[in-house]
Amino acid sequence: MLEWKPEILRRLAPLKLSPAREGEIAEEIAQHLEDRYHELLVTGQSEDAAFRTAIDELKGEDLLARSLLAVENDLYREPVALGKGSSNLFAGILQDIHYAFRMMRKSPGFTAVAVLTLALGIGANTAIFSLINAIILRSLPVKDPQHLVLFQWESDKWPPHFSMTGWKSRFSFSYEEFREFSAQKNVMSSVFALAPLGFNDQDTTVGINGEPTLADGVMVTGQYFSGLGVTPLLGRGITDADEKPGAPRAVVISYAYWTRRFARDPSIIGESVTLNGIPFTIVGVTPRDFYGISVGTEPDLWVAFDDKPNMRPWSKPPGGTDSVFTERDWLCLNIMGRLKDGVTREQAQGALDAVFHQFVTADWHPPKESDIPHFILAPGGQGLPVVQDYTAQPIYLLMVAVGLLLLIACANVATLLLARANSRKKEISVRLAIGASRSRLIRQLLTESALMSALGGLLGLVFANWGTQALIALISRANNGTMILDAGTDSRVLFFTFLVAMLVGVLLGLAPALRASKADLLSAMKDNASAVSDPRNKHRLGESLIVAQVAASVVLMIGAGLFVRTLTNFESHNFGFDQRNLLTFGLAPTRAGYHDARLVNLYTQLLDRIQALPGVRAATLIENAPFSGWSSKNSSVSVEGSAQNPSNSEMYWQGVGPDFFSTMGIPIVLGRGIQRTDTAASPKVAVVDEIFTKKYFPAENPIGHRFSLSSKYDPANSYEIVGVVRPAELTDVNPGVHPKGYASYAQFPKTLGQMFFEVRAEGPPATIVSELRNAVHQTDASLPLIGLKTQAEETSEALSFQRLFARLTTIFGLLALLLAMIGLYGMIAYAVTRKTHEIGIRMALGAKPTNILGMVLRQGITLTLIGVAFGVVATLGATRLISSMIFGVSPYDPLTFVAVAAILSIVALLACYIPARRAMKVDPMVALRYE
Amino acid sequence: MDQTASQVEWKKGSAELLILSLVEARPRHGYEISKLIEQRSGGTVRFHVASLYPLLYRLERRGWLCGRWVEKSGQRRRRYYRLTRQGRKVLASQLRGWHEFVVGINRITEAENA
Repeated sequence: MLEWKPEILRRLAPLKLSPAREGEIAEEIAQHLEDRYHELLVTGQSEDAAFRTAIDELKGEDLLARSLLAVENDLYREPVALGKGSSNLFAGILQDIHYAFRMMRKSPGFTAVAVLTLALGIGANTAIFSLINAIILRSLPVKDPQHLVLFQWESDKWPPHFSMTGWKSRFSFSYEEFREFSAQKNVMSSVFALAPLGFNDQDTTVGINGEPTLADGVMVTGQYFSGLGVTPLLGRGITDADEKPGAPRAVVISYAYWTRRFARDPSIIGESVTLNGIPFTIVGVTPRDFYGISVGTEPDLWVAFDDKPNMRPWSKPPGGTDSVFTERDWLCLNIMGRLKDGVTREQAQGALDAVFHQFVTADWHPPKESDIPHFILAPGGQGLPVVQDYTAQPIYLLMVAVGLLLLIACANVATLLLARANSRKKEISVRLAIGASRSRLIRQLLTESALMSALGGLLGLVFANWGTQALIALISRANNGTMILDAGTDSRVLFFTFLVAMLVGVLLGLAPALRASKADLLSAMKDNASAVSDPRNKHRLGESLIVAQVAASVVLMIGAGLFVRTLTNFESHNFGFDQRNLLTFGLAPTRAGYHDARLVNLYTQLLDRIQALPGVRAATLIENAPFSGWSSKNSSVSVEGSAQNPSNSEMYWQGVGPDFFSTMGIPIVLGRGIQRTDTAASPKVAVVDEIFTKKYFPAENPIGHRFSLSSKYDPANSYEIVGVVRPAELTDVNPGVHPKGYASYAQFPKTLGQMFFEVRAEGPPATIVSELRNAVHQTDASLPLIGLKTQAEETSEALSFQRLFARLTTIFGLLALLLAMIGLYGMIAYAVTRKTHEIGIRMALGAKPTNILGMVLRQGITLTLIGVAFGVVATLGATRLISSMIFGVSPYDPLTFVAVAAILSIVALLACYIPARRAMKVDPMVALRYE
Repeated sequence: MDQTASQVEWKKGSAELLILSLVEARPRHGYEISKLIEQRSGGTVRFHVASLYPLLYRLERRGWLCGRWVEKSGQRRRRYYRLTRQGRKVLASQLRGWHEFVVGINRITEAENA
């Protein structure tokens, strides 16, 4: 054939057609010219003349291109197999996606497994990220949250007294300071403060039509609502006018409280209620999505700042004038503010720091200039980080766990893809042979994996939605239903999922794509009928992926094991008191106007009534609810006659009622317990535990000795030790070894505002609940029972966080195991299929089925053991990080490590056994004919 | 120029019809189509490469023709075009239109010559 094509191609060049199309046209026209040429030769023309006549058919240089232009100028779909670099990227990508869908449809089983696996991995990550988003990243649902600032200070020397808000002293300020900050109108457009009415969600007694109920109340200053930029759904917010002395008392209620208590009655504005016995008028209802300024909590009502004996901000009042409005070191306020337009946070911080510095040094003279605390104006868009502080560590740990899970899922699907890339070698070689470029092929394979992970991501969003809802329900339960979270899917969550899915797609596609496109054309096109496979060479990548999966699941499973052991340790822990048949409930009589002697009388009278009830064996009082985490902690203890204090003289301190130790089942080792005769009028006495005596009286009988809760022994405020008891833990399920002391509640009239009753029943405690209610109701009908529950419920609730964590990590650990084993099974099964021929030959040469079984099992077990070894080493390094979260078990607990290794090996053996048995049953004749 | 202006006009209108009718009976390749047009017109109508193939591609793009590479033993592969179902409908309607046109022309010219 003569050289027609160069002539034709030259004329087609201006059209910039895809190489495939260009080649096709050139071939067809060349054929035509060739036919014409031969015909002309037959008619007797010379070769030269015939050639020229035939070429003349092309009619000049540009006619062909011009005629074709109109026909060819729309998108031409380039066949992938022939593809070199495409001239049209967009068309190429469409083509890739189209082709990827076709490949997925071709093997629905493979696609389903891969997409499901990825969906699990991506879904778990999205679920945990939704939580991080809801708790840590999301801004308050208020106007321009980026302009809000949070006031805090930093010092370990200041203040000299501890009289702060319920948490984190660094966010606590006094009302006087707040007033001075508010005057800085040149940098702040508004400054507002708040203080909770109590430390739990039942801190206020609300009288609705005379019926006492419990609610969670907060005191706020006048600019709270206007400063946050929150417009009430109904009525108005608290304003500056409400703070004026003599102003009518106003309360704003939350949407949830309005729904719960008033069935969203729109005529509620103007209605009267009583708060701790004081009449208030409901003036507003907040919008539905407003939850105050700390995520995870949702106050029921807001009132203006006040200082009445039965209604004042919660915190431990200092000595002195005892008025929240004038006491300069009563740090009971959290302060936030909104920056003035055009003022930066740094400028405002400078101005406010000067005010703060002056305030602190006015009545405190630090020994060193460097002791003066710094004032910090932090970004306030996310409000007060109450929940963030204690959830951040576990949540990030969970994020690491699901990250590992995702890696396992990726490794798993990558193994599948590798196996498939091997079986697609021929197809790929053919494409390469007919001119597809490697980059084009890699793009095609990447598109396939990206499409797969995109589908996985979509399905993952569905899984994540369920997962997040379940998580929120669990977390809420773990916090006694008081943690309210909105973890809806927002654009940030969607973006995260998209990013993860794309990353996974690239990760997944890259290895197989690079490998497949390096295929050796000749050997691959001769089909993959290599008689004896060489596993050392060909499956190195697949094997490393299996090892990685096993290693990662070892990490997750050991983590889960440690948390499960932590939970069982807590559940079986002897807290030092008898938890059986014990009922607990609180009363807050100060809210109903009880004080001082009347208060103690009320408690005594109630104790008498309760002890007289049928079915009650004993009853007593304790200052803080058991396992609430609350206890007075004193940083200094000074013993009479002892010159030096032990360096760490921390002590936990509780006021308790008479018969406390006998009721709780705490054995008295020496002396006596707290008695009814230990009153405000009698000498101050204390009972200490054995940890205390071991520390302060290692060689003496402590009875009769005296100590005071101050850094220097103070005889005027000292306690005589009258008894020693066995150590018991009533404060926290997470016990620490601290010295403990117990005093008579009647000798602390200031802290008696709320006490808890501990009632020991003869039989099941449920039988005496209504009797108890009646007893309280008959004494004073305006006293609601706070948190009535059995000690078993209390303990179980206190452990719900540990339970949640153990559950979640176990689920993730088991998922990891499942995925890793599917991966192992898949790889071994694939290897067996590939080696059918080899197995046939071996058997034909005399290998016994058991030899074959051993050969296959050996491969799987070797990989598993290598994975376990890597996993154990990695875990040894990682468990240090969780040592603060586990209890009663070492982070290097050998039992957990061995158990996980054993479980993994046994399951791995099973996963390999199924394909191994199939290998054993290979019929040599069939196998040899196989390929 | 080996063609007069009237021939060019005539070809433009009828080229599609010619090609469609030539592949009606059986699939043919491009050279065969051009040969048949030349032979049956006694050499008066000729398509050269630069206009025949763009036309074939256009008809293919419209879905009236379907081209397919066919290999016969001992020969190089050629692209054969066959009439699609849609092409068949188009051909029928074009033939009808052409027929009516010819009948119309004849009536006019016969009346003049009578």
